[in-house]
Amino acid sequence: MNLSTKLFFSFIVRDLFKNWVRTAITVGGIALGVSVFLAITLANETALSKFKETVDVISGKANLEVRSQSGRYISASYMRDLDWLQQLGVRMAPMIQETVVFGTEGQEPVQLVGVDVLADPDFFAGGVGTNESYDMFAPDSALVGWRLAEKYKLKVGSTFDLYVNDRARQFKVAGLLEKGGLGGAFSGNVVATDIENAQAALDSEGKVSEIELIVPEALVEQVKLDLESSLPPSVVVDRPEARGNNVEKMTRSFQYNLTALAFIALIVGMFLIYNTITISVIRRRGEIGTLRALGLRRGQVSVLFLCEAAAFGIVGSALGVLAGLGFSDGALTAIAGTMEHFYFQHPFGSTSADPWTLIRAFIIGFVITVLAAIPPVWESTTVQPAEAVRRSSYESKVLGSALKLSLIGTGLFLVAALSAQAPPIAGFPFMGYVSALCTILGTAFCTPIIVRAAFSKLGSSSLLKKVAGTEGLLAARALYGASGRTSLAVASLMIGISMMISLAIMISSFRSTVVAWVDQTLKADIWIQSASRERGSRQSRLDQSVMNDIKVLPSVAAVDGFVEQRMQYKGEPSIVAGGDFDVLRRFGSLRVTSGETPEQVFARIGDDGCFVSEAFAIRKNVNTGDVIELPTDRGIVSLKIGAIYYDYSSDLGHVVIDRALYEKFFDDHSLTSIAVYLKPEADLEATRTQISDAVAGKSLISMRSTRELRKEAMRVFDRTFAVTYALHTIAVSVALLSVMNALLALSFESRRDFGILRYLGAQRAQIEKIVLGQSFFLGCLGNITGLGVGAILSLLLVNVINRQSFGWTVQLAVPWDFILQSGLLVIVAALAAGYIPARQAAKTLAPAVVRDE
Amino acid sequence: MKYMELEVIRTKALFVWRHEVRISSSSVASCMLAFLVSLFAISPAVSAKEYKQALPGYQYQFPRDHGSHEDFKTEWWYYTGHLQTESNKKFGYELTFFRHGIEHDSSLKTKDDRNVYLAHFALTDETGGKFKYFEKLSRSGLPVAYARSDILSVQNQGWSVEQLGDRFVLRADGDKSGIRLLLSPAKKPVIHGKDGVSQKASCKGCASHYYSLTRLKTEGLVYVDGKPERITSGWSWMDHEFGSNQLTAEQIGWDWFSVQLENNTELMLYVMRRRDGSLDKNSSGTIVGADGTAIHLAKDDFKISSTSKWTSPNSNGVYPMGWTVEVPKHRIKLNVNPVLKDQELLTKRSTGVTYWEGAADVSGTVEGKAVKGESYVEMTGYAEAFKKKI
Repeated sequence: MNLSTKLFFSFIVRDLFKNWVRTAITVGGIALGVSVFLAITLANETALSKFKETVDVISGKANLEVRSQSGRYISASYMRDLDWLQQLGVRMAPMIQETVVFGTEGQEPVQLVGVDVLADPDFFAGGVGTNESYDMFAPDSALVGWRLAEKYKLKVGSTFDLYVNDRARQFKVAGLLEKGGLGGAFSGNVVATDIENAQAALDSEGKVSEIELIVPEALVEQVKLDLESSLPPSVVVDRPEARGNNVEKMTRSFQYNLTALAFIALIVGMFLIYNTITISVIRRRGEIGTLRALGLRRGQVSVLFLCEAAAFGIVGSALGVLAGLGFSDGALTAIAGTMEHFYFQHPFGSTSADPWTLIRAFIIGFVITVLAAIPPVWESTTVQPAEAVRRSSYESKVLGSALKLSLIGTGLFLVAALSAQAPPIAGFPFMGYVSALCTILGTAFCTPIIVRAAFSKLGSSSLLKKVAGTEGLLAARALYGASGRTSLAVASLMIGISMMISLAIMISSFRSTVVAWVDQTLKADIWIQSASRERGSRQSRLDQSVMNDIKVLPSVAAVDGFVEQRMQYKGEPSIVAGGDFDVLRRFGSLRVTSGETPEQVFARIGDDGCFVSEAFAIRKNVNTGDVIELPTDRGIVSLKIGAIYYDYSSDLGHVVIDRALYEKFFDDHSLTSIAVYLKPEADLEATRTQISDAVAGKSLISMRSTRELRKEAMRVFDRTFAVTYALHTIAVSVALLSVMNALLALSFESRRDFGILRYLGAQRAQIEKIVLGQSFFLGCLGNITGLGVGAILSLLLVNVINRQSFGWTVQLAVPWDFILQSGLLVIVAALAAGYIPARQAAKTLAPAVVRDE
Repeated sequence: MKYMELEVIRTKALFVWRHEVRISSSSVASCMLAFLVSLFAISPAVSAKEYKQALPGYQYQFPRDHGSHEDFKTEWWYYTGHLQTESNKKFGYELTFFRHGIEHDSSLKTKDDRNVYLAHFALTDETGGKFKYFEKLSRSGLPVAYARSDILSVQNQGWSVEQLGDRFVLRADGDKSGIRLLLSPAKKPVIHGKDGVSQKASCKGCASHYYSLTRLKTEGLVYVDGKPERITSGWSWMDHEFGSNQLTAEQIGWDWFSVQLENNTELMLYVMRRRDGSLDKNSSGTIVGADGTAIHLAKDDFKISSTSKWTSPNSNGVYPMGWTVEVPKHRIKLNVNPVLKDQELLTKRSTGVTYWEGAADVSGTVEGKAVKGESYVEMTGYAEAFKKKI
């Protein structure tokens, strides 16, 4: 063992073990940050990669596909327009797919994939694990994926039900798909049939989701260009992989924001490291001075401390990676629910850990740890040996630089204010996050001056003396005296608390806005959708006859049939919907941003105009009066935006037109949902029974009263915010960890002071009181600064980051009760963290330390 | 006379497919095709119940009967011909469209009739000594393949035959090869067999409705290596056949001849070969006179003998190669010689059948006078029989 390794072990490692509580807290903080970051990254990546994998599997060797821009399906007749491509050696296969509900025993969403069983084998990956021969053309023949087969013990010949739209259909297992190919797509939750049978089941004769093409690779771009110019604009011609990019685009805001939040957890962890190393360095300035005096070079000292940071980084990151793997399935479940509800349907299964992602998370954790350690380490080695051995030389330095630091802080505030005004970059509120970061750092830089101001006042306050006695005053003065260390503690507290507070305010604002919106817009009495839609088949439809059956019931005043489908607006996924303008006018459930009443709005725009949701207006940057070009099955149509309405049901953005117009544009006569308005005297339960009777045997529907629907809306909301809630909890934990870390260090450092006090005759209880008083003051100051920064951050989150990401106007609602509770919790935690050092300090044997001194 | 091709050989094809499925990567599609193929193989037991049988007394009605007959299970339109181009090159072509009905348990009624559509296209470059063939496999329910019932309009992935007034337009493409043909009938349709049915086996309904347009003047373009060549003279032959029943298990294949002679007469002959090596008594033929009158030939009215053999390097099937055709009653003696030996089609993708169908030259005497002519010959059941000994 050479000298430097020896030195590392005796000087660093031994110290780490001696201060094991603080070591554990620091490692825990890094681990937590890395694990959250990794879990979220893994969940995000899995969601996307599973989707992409599935696209790969189900499109086989296809390298180009034709699909709809204006809706779910395109007419299969486009295949005839593509026939001539065969002369170029192009092969072609149609496909139709939709998420439907698998019935019989459990009821869960599965993907129904209709393929041309006679198409070129190159379009299919994998095989059928059966040697039975079976008639795939029989209308009830289906092949099932491995997971369904395993879970429901399906064999060739067993029957099962699929709930498609508002009907149930029985299928018979003709074969089991092998795991390696199509059977593994959608995590094995797949049912494949011949395309004609799938079309019939989906009530979509003559329609297909995609026409897949295998084009000689050299011709792909040429063929793509040619098709784009010869086919109508309502279809897109693209590589199948582009579907993955579309999903990426669609979920980008959601995923980026999650990643950003996770990154904040990492940054907090980074601050924890900065804090620990700083204190570790300050504590051993004397030793550093001695080492330097003994001839150790600056670089060598730096390396010693950086190795300490690296040790933290390695252990913390490794633990974080392990923990992250553990959390990732939970994170995926939380994300998957939201993804399936809002963006695309895809049963995910569990996360797959790409080793590179793990390595990356580890490296990020490690690098951030070492980076965080560089400033304090560098600072410690700039001092001259003689200066270093003198006690509290650091404090005098801090004194001089407090003003300088607050100037930097002010500069950062300025940057924060400016970047808050900046527009999003590629749809992502990059500058919003910059602004948030600058606010946090700015406050951190201003902490020394705040600490000095606060504790100089407090240390001479007669009120404090009355309330807390001399011990209280001493506590305040000690904090003032050690304002460098105090500032660090306060800053780390502030960061944790501000994150906690800002997330709390954001969630509460969102929630109360959605509650208010739900109350204002859900004006109908009964809401109807197909049973399969309720169970997760988001594109499931109802037949219009259901609406007609309900319309004639005596207690029904009006019905509003609503239909919506995905489309691509300027290459971005959006939603186009058809509603009954007449009913909307009479019952007025749209709340528009201009504040006009429904009558005013409808009188102004007429039946040919359109409404766009706020999310659409903000994200597509359009306004009332603008004309938008919508791709429809009838070509591109121009629509004037009549009004912008509040909507929190999707961040993709809705364009709502009158249903008559919708039916004309899209040749789609089905309904997504029906809102039923009752006559004033009608009985809700009695009408529900009447509706059930009216559609019995014809249509499988799900009915909800407005009260039930509100509940459901809030359930969806809470699920969407599940990850945010989790991050919030983690923010609280990190905040508490940093409080403890700072206080432990501070108390330990004050041992000598306490020794002198004991020598001068202070009692144990008095010492304890001083230490606890310090903790209390720190907790309070951390709370106050954290609350202030948290409030600013919440404004940024609500008005800049979320608005730019999702296009929602959110009314600020402050959760006072939570703030009060968390404030108390922080103080309790601060006191708890102070308890152990207080006991230690009280036990200090005066002669020993004083002799030292 | 390609009637049974889809039937008997399918039984064999099932085994071929199964074999391939096991040893190869067993892709979904090939397995699906195995399902399909086996469906064909199984179907004889149930098929005749739902589909009409080809029975005596059928009254033809043209042009309606050029179109598709969905009441019958199987149907095809067969075009063969000989073309001479402006650069004096000679080509033979074959373009065939099949329709095969799929039926199910009648409790599972589907909205429309369902069909599988198959098509083969072969081009023989007689001058260059090259033979190329292509195939298509499609199904109903998608707009790329169909056969209309009201008029002759058959499509399969860009290949098509369509009636245009009294004439027919043919179109097919393969790798840098293709045809665009306009066919004008010089004679009325000739109905084969007796009383509107062409018997294929001795059981009742084991027959088809079968007629031909034996002399179609052919104009248009033939593409070779991507270059179009204008046709200066060409004659085609069209067979249209539909029925519902299958061959019997004893019948393992057949040889079919269409002969167009310079004296403006035509001859169609087929022999059904039985497992025991004998010829089925339902083998028959038709002589078409210059004025279009048809004379039915029974099995014993003609005699076909082969002069040599050719072993296919692709399928290992051993085919007769070169024939002497005699119709003593009409003092016809013809030598039929293939223009190229390798005109074998291995249609793995579509019918799953291996058969030989090729252009041949004809020379000989009719009533003592020397005649020349052109022929298309089809031979089935040689490769599979050789390989599988079913």
